[in-house]
Amino acid sequence: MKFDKIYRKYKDDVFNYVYWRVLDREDALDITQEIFIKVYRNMDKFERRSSIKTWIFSIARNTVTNFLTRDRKIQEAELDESLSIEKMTRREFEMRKDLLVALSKIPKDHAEVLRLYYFDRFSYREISELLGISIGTVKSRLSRAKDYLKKEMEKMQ
Amino acid sequence: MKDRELEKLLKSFHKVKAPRELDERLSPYMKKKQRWSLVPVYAVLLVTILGIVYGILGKREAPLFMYEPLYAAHTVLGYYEVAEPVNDASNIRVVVDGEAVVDSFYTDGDTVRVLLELSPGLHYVIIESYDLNGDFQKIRAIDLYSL
Repeated sequence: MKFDKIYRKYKDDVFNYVYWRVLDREDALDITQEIFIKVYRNMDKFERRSSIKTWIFSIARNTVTNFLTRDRKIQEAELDESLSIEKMTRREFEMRKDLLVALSKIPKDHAEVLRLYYFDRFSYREISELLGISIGTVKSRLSRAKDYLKKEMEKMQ
Repeated sequence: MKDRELEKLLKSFHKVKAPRELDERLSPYMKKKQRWSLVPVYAVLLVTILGIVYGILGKREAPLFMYEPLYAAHTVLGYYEVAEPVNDASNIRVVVDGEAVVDSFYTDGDTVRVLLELSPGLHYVIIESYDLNGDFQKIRAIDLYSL
């Protein structure tokens, strides 16, 4: 598969993935660019042991993780800005904002499964491949993540 | 919060599309459309045009008869079929552009076939045979068949 095709097929998915993790448009743009440059430079190393999507998102995952570990915390203003890309009522806005805050407080491995499933529309199998866990574990983490999330959101209300 | 409400809230997050700026930033990594990538298209077009021209000009070769100047669009290796039956090929004489061509014809008893190789250009081909008085006279050729 040629880089042009890969880029066209996955640019929105990758940007979306990055965006809902860093919650900043400019950062998401920089990181997505970095991810695709890595994809370009490492295409000859892709061994087809996994799907191309899993390979690209494993690069995306590592790049985002590196970015987020550079002592960066999600700022309130960024949350507001990240949600302002869509039109919604004040209540919807507040609910989503609470959810994002709550999501940042639950165990990371659970939050990751939840983001992949709901924000990135990954299937159980794709999550299982990307994270290297069984489908059963994916399902149980997803269920637990929702429980954690509910509790965190209840605390906030 | 009920499970259903949470589910609805989680699903309310729409996918965010990559801004166009990303395309610009990554454009140096995109394969430029090469001019030569259209070469096969041009080649097919050229062959089609040549085919049409060849077809039009080629058609002129087939129905050419004696006394008409023959235009060969390309090197023609073909033969005339002579209308009058001639039993002996030695009774035939072929003159191309004023010069007699020898050993270029044969007969199967009914028709005489005159083998010609003509270079591209205008040619005058005359086919003659002995008449009853032993003189050469022009005879009509039916067609030139390309081999």
